Amino acid sequence: MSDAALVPIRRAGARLLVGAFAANCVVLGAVGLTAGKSGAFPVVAIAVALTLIPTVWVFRSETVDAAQRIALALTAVCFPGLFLYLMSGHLWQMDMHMYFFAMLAGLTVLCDRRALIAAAGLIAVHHLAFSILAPDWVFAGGGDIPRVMLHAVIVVLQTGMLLWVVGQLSALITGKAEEVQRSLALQVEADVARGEAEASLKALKIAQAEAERHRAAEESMRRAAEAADRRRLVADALEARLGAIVSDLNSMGVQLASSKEELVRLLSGAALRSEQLRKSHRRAEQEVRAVAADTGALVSSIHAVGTNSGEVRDTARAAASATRQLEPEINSLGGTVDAASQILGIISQVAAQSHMLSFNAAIEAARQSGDGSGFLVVASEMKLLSSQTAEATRQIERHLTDIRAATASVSSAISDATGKVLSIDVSTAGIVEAVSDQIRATTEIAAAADEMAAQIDAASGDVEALDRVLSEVANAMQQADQIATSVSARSVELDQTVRSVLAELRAA
Amino acid sequence: MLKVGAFVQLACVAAAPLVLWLSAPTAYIRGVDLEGRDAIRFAAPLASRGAQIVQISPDGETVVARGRPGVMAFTLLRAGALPLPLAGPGGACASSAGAQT
Repeated sequence: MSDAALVPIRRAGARLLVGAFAANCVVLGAVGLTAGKSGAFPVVAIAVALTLIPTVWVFRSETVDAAQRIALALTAVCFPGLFLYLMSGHLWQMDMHMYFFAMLAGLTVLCDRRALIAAAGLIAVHHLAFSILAPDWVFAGGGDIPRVMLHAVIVVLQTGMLLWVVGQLSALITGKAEEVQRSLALQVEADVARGEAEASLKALKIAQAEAERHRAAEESMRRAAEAADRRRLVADALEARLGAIVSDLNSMGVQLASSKEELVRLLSGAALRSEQLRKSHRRAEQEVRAVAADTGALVSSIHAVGTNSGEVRDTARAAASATRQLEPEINSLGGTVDAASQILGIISQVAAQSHMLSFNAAIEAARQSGDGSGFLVVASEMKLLSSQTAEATRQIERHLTDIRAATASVSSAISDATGKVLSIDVSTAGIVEAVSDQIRATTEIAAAADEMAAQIDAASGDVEALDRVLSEVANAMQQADQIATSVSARSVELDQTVRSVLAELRAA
Repeated sequence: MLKVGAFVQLACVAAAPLVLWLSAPTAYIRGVDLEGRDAIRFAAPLASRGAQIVQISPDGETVVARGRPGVMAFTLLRAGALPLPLAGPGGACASSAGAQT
């Protein structure tokens, strides 16, 4: 069994023990100061001296050999002895014996059975020797052989257990190390096999590359032959296609020239139309502004019409009122005519009685013959008077009838006039409302005319923009003309170049 | 080199009890006369070093003294005696701390 696997853990264990030694030095000094022992300084000096050499070992060498491990183990069990000496006579001196067992257990970090056995032997010798030579250094109040033997038995038991643990631990570590070595060996074998496989793969790749080169050479030769055939075919096809393209370019140049002329003509027409449009626009603007002005005048006149209509309405209402005032007068006139008719009836009766009287007087005068001539005259006068009265009465009757008829017709006419005046009032109200509508409409027309004038102003900017666009189109057309000329020249050069390339291609 | 270091370390371990004993403030020591049976001759130098003579064997072979062990051992060696540590005044193991003080 190789101990190589135990080297790292033994080195770490040695460093751990050296650290514990240094800590023990400090604790020994502290205990000495606390206990006030006069022999504390030599104890601490011995502890420091025991710590120095192992410290140099573990930090200057990579390995800790068997002699060093044994020396470390013996040094380790010295520290509990120093504590026992320092605490001699103290009640806790006996308790410090446990430190031997702790230190003995701590020596397992060295993974060395011989070191454990040496440490256990030194503990036994320490107890036996000092129980005889300096019992106070070991047991408070003195010791004896049975107590030493009891301690020795315990030390032996612990040492046995620790030896078994160290054996198992060492076997485990070395087994693991062997497994690691085997795995490393297998890895090395795998690396070798991989190297061989990679070499084989490289050779295979080289062979494949060589075959690929051969195949590529054959392929390139075949492709060269195919390329020559293809060049010929391509030359023929190129000649046909490029010839067609060149002829198309020539015809396109001609078409471009004709299109240019057509565009020039269209552009001239567009410029002329633009000028006409500008003039029309100006006229329209003037007319629209005139319409706006006329619309304002129309609004004013309609306002006057509305005012006059209002006055007519007021006059009609006054006339209706005046006409209504005539109706009682006419009615009164009718009553007067009726009263006159009644008086006329009385007059007619008087005339009739006068006639009867004249008639009776004539009769009486006739009976009295001579004496009654005067009476006859009176009777004739009275008859004449009654006749005239009757005639006047009839004439008055006719006049009264005419007056009644005239009064009725006047009343009817007044009624008609009142109705007409009312209808005039209604009509004038309609006229006023219509005038208001016309005022509103004409106002809207004026606003529309103003808006139209603004639109015409805006259209003026559009017309100017159209002029600029036409100018830019003219410039672009000029450039297009130059390009078309250049294309025509280039097409001729292309034709010549294609012919020379095709000649070279066929020659290749 | 490492082996020498281990040897030195073992020597230090072995010397530690001796150093402790020699550095003790007071201890008992037995001086064995190596040149005859005239141990009484050690009494004067030991006493001159502050040691207390505890016992001189009747045959004059040994002397038991109490004092600073280092000084007493040096004095005994110079006088031709072998210094040996003692646990108590009579060399018995039953000595106690109280007896030493």
